[in-house]
Amino acid sequence: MATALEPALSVRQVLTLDRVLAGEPEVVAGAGHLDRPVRWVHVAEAPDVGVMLSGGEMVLTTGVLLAGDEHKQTEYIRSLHRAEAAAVVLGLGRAFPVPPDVMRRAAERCGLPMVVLHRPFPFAELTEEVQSRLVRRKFAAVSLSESVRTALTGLITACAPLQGLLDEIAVHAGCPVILTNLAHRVLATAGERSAVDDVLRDWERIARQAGGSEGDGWVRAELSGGGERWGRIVLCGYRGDHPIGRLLAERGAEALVLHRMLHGSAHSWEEQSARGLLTDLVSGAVPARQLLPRARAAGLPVNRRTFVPLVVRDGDPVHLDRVLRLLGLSGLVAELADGAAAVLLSLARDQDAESLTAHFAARLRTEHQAGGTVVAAADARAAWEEVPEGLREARHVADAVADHSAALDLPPVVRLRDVHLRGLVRLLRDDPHVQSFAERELDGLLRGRETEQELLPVLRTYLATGRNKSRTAQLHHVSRPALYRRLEAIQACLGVDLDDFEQAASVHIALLAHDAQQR
Amino acid sequence: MSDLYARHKAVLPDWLALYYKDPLEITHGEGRHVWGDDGRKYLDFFGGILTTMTAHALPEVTKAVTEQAGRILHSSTLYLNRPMVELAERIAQLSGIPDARVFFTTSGTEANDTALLLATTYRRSNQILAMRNSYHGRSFSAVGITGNRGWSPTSLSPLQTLYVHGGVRTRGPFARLSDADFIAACVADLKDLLGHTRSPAALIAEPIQGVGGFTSPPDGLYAAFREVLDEHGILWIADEVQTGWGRTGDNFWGWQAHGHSGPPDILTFAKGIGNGMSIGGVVARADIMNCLDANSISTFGGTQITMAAGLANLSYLLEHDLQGNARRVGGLLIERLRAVAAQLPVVREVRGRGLMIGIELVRPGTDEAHPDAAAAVLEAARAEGLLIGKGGGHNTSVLRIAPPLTLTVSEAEEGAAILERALGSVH
Repeated sequence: MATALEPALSVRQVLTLDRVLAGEPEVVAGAGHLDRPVRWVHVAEAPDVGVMLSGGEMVLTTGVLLAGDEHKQTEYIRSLHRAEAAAVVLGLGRAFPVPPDVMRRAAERCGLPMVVLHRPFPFAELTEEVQSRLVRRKFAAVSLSESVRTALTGLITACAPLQGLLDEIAVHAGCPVILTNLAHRVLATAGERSAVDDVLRDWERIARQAGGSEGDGWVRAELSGGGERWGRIVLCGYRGDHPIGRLLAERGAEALVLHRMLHGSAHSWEEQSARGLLTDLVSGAVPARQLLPRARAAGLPVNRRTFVPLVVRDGDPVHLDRVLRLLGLSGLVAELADGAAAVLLSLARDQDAESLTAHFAARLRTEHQAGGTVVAAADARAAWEEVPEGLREARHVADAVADHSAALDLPPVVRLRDVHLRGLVRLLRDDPHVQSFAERELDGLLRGRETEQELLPVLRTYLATGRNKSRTAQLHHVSRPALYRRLEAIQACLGVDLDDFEQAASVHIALLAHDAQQR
Repeated sequence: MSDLYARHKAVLPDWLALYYKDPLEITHGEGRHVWGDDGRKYLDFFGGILTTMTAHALPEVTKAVTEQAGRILHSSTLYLNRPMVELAERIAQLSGIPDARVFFTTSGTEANDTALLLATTYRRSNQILAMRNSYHGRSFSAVGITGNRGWSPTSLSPLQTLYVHGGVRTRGPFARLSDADFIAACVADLKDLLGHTRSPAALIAEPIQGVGGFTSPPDGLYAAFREVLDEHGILWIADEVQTGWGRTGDNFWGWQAHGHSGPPDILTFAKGIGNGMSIGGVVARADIMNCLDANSISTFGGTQITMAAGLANLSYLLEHDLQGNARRVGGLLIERLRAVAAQLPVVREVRGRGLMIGIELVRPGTDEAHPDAAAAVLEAARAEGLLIGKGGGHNTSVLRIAPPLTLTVSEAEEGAAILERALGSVH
């Protein structure tokens, strides 16, 4: 990667050095070009100085060989201009007691900064001062580049997560660092929380507006590999020198590219970002309002939208995301910790949440013809603040119907009103009374030998199907007489009569409570 | 009323229907877009009735036409014609019909006319089997077999036509059956019909009905028919005027969705192949094609200028795998439209395959056609810069979507978004 780093001081910076200020410098021409970089400082009295320069030099002279010959003076300035010198500094004294008008006008015409020193001092002091600064800067840049690279490489080889890399870059940069894909979607951030939030608050606008310009300390570097660009890293409001910022961004980009090559694809970064956001929303650890900037930055439309929280058991986030794109629905997809995928749909207010959810669920079912995918849905939420509660509701519904979908013959979309008793039992599962009740009721089966424990699934199906014997036999692939024998064994073990409604209900509730314990 | 509209009405027939209350004059086009005399740019989802197959003003076709125009426009079939032979060779190869001969006409109507002439002569019978809700062209013999009242201005015909069940999957007495039972019922109906009638010459069918509103049977129906027809020596004519050239995405020809009993005996094509140049044609086994015992030439069929366009257009289509593009982009578009339709009771069904998509509209809560809604959506889409078509047989009203096959994903998304708003604006 080509580094644009050219460690240099500007003419203006040189003029503000203490040693130089003591010489009472005065800019007499080319004041508009003081930001030119000074690559080197060169003392030259020869009139043909131009041939010795290679550009970017600040030339110091007393003009001793120029005095009295206006033609030579003009030619001297022109040759400096042709050699692309950064500036000329003239020490006033014996040769020129006052700034020479001819040189001043020539310099003004060429746009060459011309500075006179009213109290000249030995030029050697100036060259030493400037030169040592230039060398120090160059060394500092190289050393920063090396130290950043070493730190990042260390992290990569230690298999540190993406966040670790970004945090490291943010430490060096001292400003928010943002990783985006090409669509300006934020994939990850690092830096001081409040500063990051400030940047994200208006991300959509800033991201596009700040496009090419690199003013205001916004430094970007492209992430590319295999001849394809796929993202960028942005230092937001880097306060140091621009070349150093550029160097940091490029070192960061190199490390991120390497990280992706070694540890997976950009897609998984997008997934990680969605997962972080949805997990934070569900957990409630961070107030929803504070997560709004992150949601917006992750590409979820949030203004005047209706949100539909969904949870799909055993859903593959990549697949779910693909179906969303296919259907043209906006949403975030991520796997929650316990093998369920959360989907947060964002719909326009005039879209019909219920029928779109149903269509999404039906579409998922047609893709998996074998398995009856169940989408657990919470009611649509009109306010962002209600989204966490909605996500928890959807997860609760998904948990309540998990593993029972076949026996329950569930519709493609399941809601809170569909989970009935299961939902209640699940909410009460941590209650010790409920736990001991379940143990007591099922004691005969749970403490039994293996053969008796194998009866548990039969009992589960039998009760879930509403004590439908033929359906239970069918689902367990056994004959009716074989099922009757098992049901008799169950009744004997438990000491209950399953034909008695209240006893069956009691066993059913106990079993639901027992199952709720297992997950 | 615009001046041109007034002149149109004064000099052209009244039955020449125009789209839109304020009819549109299209002045030029590029890619998937056309520009109107109103100065507006429109995304074109109808391609001048599925005829702009690759793209408007495709440079490859323009170049071929310009170069050919500089040499010679026309010589008639009385002289050897290199572009005609070359295009015929390529189409014979692509048709899937063994020992194929190709005859070029100037339209799909004339192609179907020719197919009927060949079949009735070969079989020495004037009995034809056709599908309900079908359309095969506007000539005197073609309207005689058309199974769509709206497009059938006379019942006079040299042919005796009998209509078979099966061209429409979701309406009619068999609609509630499963795909397999639907096919079995239609086959039983065909067998019954053949017991009552003198032996027909041929069955003519569009694999996906065009004017009828992009309706189709389950895959495999015509293969099942084919087995019955074979026992009686009855020919199968596949009318590929709208379905050919990969528009349906999954298949290059529509008949390939019904191909497990072999290819059709006769295939007709037109529309897209010339990208607007008038090319139609018939492909048939040599023994069928050669059965005529009198002279039959074509003055305009196969003329050099149209053949040059056809060759360039076909090459572009194949080299850029536009069939694959139709499958991918069409698949996305149909998913989008189904998601839109899921919210709207005015939509009965979104159907089709590839870039041949029909949206059937009904009065909400009923199965009744809703032509006012179809007209309103057409207008609303136009107002937002999207051109679509409409169609449908008796008692149905259908929006027809058939963009050029180079359609991009972002154009599909743009069109779907416009259709969502247009459909949402009617009830």
